Order: sequence, then C-alpha cells, then structure tokens
Amino acid sequence: MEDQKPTSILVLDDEPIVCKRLKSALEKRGYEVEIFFRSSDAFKRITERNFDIVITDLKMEGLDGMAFLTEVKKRSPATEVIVITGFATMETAKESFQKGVFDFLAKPFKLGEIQDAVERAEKKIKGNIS
Amino acid sequence: MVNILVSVNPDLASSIAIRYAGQLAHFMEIALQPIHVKEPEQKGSLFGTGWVRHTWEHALAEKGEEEINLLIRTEKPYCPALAAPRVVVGERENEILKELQTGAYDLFMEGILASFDEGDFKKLITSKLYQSAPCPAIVVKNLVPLEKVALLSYVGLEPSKLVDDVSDILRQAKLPLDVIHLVPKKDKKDLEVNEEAHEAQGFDNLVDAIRKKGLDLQKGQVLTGHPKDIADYLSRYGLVVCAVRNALDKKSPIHTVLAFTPSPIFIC
Amino acid sequence: MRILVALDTNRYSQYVVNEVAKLAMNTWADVTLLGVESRKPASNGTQPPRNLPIVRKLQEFREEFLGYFKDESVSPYAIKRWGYELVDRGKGLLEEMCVCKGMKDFRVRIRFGQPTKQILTEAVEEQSDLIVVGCSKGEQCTWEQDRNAPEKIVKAAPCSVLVVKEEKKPTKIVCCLDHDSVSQESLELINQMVTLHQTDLALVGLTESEHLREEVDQKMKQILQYYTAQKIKAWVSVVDVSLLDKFIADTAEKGLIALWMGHKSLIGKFFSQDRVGKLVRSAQSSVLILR
Repeated sequence: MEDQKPTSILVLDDEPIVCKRLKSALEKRGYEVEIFFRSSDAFKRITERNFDIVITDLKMEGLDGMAFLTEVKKRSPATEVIVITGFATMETAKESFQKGVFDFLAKPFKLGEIQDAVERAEKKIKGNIS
Repeated sequence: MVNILVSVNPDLASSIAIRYAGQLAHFMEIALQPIHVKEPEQKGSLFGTGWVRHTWEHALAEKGEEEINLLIRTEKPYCPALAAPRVVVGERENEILKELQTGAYDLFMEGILASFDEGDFKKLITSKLYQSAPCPAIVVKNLVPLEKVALLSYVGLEPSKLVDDVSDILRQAKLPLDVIHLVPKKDKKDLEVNEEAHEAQGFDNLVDAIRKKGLDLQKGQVLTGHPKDIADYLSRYGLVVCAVRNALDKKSPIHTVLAFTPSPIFIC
Repeated sequence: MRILVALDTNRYSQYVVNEVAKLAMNTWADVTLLGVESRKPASNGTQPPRNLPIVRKLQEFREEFLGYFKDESVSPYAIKRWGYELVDRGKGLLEEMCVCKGMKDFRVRIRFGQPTKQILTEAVEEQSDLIVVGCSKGEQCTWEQDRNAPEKIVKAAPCSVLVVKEEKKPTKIVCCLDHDSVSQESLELINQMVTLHQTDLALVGLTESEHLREEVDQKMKQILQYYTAQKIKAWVSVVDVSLLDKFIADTAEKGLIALWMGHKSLIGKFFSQDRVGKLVRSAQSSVLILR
C-alpha cells in the first residue's frame, strides 16, 4: 500500500515563476508538490515531515540552498535532493556532489530535464524500498 | 538638510535618480522635490491664447500628473523623502531654471542614462540649464552603491571653487573621499595608476583646500590613460565630483572622461 | 542545461571546446559534440567511417573536453551507472546494448548532410538550450562545406547561440536590447555567463535619434530590477543605432557582446536577422545571441 502514495516533492526557489512552473508540471504527472519561496518556511516544513524528493535553488536570502541541502540530508538521508541553480560554479557543483545531491541542474533548463531527474530519483527511491 | 530638486519623467532614468537620492538620504537629511515639465508637442509655439490656451495647458498638466504620480507611488518606498510632484507645462530648461532660482535648492538632480555618444554629455553640461543653474547638479547615470566619492582634479582646476561648492554636502555625507588627478592621453594603451599623487601639478593645493574644509580625505591617485579607461576605473565610485561648469574648454578630454564614466557625476 | 557544440576541423573549433569545457565545469551541462560531414561515405556493412578527418578531430576534442574533468570522483561525466537499453540501429533494427552513463550526458555525434540543417535539426531534436559554434574572424567564415554556417545558425536557431571567435576572458558582458521580448531562459543564460567570467553586466538600450522606445525603457527597468534582486551589478546605458557598429567594435575588444533577438525577428527591430547575420560575420570577437 505504501507504493500507492504519490511521491512527495518539496520545491524551494525564491523565483515564484520557477516554483509555479514546476508545481504545475509535476502535479500533472501525479506528484504531490509543495512549493516555498523562502528557505526559512521550507526549513520549518522539513522539520514537520519528510519528503521523498527535494528540489532546491542554491542562491537565496537567509539560509542558502547548500545549507538547506545539508539539513535535508541530515534529517532524512533517504530524501533525494535535486539542486537547481542560476549561478553555477565549480565549487558549488562539487560541494553539492560531495553532500550527496542526486542531480545538479543549471538554469536554463527545459521542464523535461527536471521531470527526467525526478523520474530517476523516484526510481532510485522505489528501488531502495523493494 | 539638503534641499534637492529632481527632474522626473515616467522612465527608467528617473527611477534610477530617485532611488539614488534614496541612498543619499542614508547619509544626510534631504528634502526631494520632484518636478515634471510637460513640453507642448509643437515646441516653440504655444497653442492658442486666453482661456483656450489655459484649458489646453491644464489638460496637458493633468496628463503629465497622472504619469508622474504613478512613478512617484512606485518609487516612494525607495525614497521616503520624495515629496508630491510639481507638474508644469512649458519649455523644460526654462521651467526648471525658474524653479531652481525661486526655490532655494541646494542641489539639482536628474537621471540620464549613460550614452555611447560622448557628444550627448557635452551637450548636456554646456546646456543653458547646467551653465546657469544657481546650484550644483548630480547627473545620475546608474544606480550604484554610494560607498565612496572621487573628487577629480586636473591641470588648470581652480581648487577653492570646487571645494567651496561641494564641501557642505560632502561634510554632511561623511563619505570616504579620494582625490583623483586625471591625465587623459588618447594614445595610451594601458591605464597607469600612480599612488604618488602629490607629484601632480596643483594636487597639493586641492588637498589643502579639502583639509581646510574638514573633509575626510582617504587617498590620492594619478590616473594616466585613455579617457575611456579612466572612465572605467571611476566606475568603482558611487559619486564622481568634478568642476566643469565654465571651467573647461569644450574640447577638453576631461569631458570625454565624464561622458564615459558610468557612475553618478556631481557637477559644479 | 543542454549544450550543443557544433564543430569542424578549423582552429576556432579548438577555442569552442575550451570555452564549452569551462562553462560545463560550472554548470554540469549535458553536452553533445557534433560534427557534420556533407556526404556519407560508402562503408563496409555496419562499420562506421573511421578515417574521416572530422571523426578523428572529434575524438581529439572528446579527450580534450574530458581532460578538464580529470578528478573522476567529482566529474559529472565519469561513468556512474550502466545498464541494458534498446538502441535503434536504423533500418528497422533494435538492439539491446549495454549503455554506460555519467551523472550528466556527454555525447559525440556525427551527422551527414548540409551542416546548418543538421546542426539545427540536432538542436531541435535534443531541445538544446545553447548552441556553441566557432567562426573565423573577418568578413568570411570558413566553415567546412557551408562557409556561412554560423550566420545561418544564428538566424534560424530555436535557442541562444554563442559564436566563438577566440578564447578570452571578457571583462564585461554587454547585453543589447532593441525590443521588449526577453525570455526567462536568456536571463538565466546571462547569469551563468556572468558567474563564469566573474564580470559586471551592462544593459544597453538601442535608441533612434536619441529616442529610447517606451517599451524598451520599461523592459530595461524590469531587467535591472531582476538583476538588482539577484545582487548582480548591472550598468545601464544607451547607444544610438547609427553608432551600433562602432559600439560593438569598441566593446568587443574587452567585453562579450550579447544581442537579445527574441524568438521572432520583428519588422522594424534594429536587430533584424540580416543585421545580426552581418554582425556575426564581421565581428572581431565572440558574440552571444540570446533567445
């Protein structure tokens, strides 16, 4: 019965346009999606529940995406994190990788690219369950 | 309190000027009076006479007011010192000069986007408005952080005049001040930055004048190079102060430096 | 981000590979190196034509590109997963093959046919976000089998195009705008270029007889607000269209010129397809066309 539950996704990006586009595209595919524009709100949410997948931007006011990634992995190692960034650097890419990020997507990207990353992450999660 | 008149239009340049004034307000107490001059479309010949002309001007002013009120509402959060706009119909330079002469302003300000055509800037500072204004002016080309000020020196500069014009405002602002002596050379390939500024002609006189006024002088430098390279270097300053009114030959390369400097320029 | 890298055997293609590698080191983009051969040579059965100069050149480029990612423990292109996949071998034949993949895709491809057409087809099929193509400096490009391929690609591409003429570290990214249609993707691409080169950004509005169109003024305001919010220093300025060529020649010496073309070329725009084509052809430095 566990498998019947839709995969839960948290999206954190301070650009509302990105969040809204992702929410609508991912919900159409049957995912349960919650979006956050502020990292403090998203942080509060992950203390309340775990998500299967977290999609987070890196550059944000307050707690940045890297700190958020670290916190997510600490609280829920099984959660797969996909980093999206408009300001990619070699250092952030490597650091994300070392912190166990599932995928690292630099903007601009097509919706298909993130949908593909989400599908692969979901496959990995389900593989772990069975 | 520094009393500023800012010329506004419903455009990007005016937004930049107002937001820059908002930054100035962090350093000194300011009152910012916006003025918008709605120019008649047929320049030179005012339409009609008597009540016809009056009604027509009134309609034009109302239209201008609508546009400017929207700008003021949008920009007010960035500059709370912004007063209600004054909208007048007439020839722009004349109307602004009239307001400056009657309104006891300490400073005139306007937003003008930096232009690749250096002639545009020369035209501006040799215009009737800039030549006859009773106070100094700031031409805001870009919204840059106001962290430090450059005071420009060059051969032939009258230091006391420059310092007299800016000292009150700079003393109130308490911003770090560098004196930059310019040696523009069109044939020089790389910019040379020399920290031994005291060797430059007239530099010591300027420094003395600055110190006498109690201003906070940080450092002095001599920049030797192509006017465009000097202008690029000056982009690190949040305000560039220069005495140019009635002081420079029209062909002076200092005009070129100022034309290409992207930072706001304080003209006195 | 998906980058399509169109290569031939000219010297500038070397610069292209280096520039793309630097961008890929930051962005971990999916990268395809594409060579085009005009005619498919006769081959023996299923053996691919190995002796074509473009094939050898692409192999060299592949090694050079991967050479930028020597530390395999953090390379997005190091093989991390493998599995059997059905692969279309053409002529109605599917074959299950063992396919190795890195975290990101890195492909080397050769297409046969007319270069511009093949490059554009690849960009559409792979939904590329950016095409990077080399071009020689001067009036005439020397693309193999299709001399003005870069110019034609710029005119017809469905995405942004970086035309590389040399290797350099620009001191400023100078983005010119003549209309009010600016895509989110183009802004994001600029962000990556600014981050890569650690430079300031200049937004330039084109004027005609000192007049900046109201819609361009408003768009510049929005873009400036966007970059201010992103904490990127953006300088604004205007250039009269009569001085555009001089401006580009002057600016390109140290900066990277980027022209916003939008998705469609509108009548009356300063950057008509022909004008951009000419700029791409004659520019002495690299040009980024934003869509």
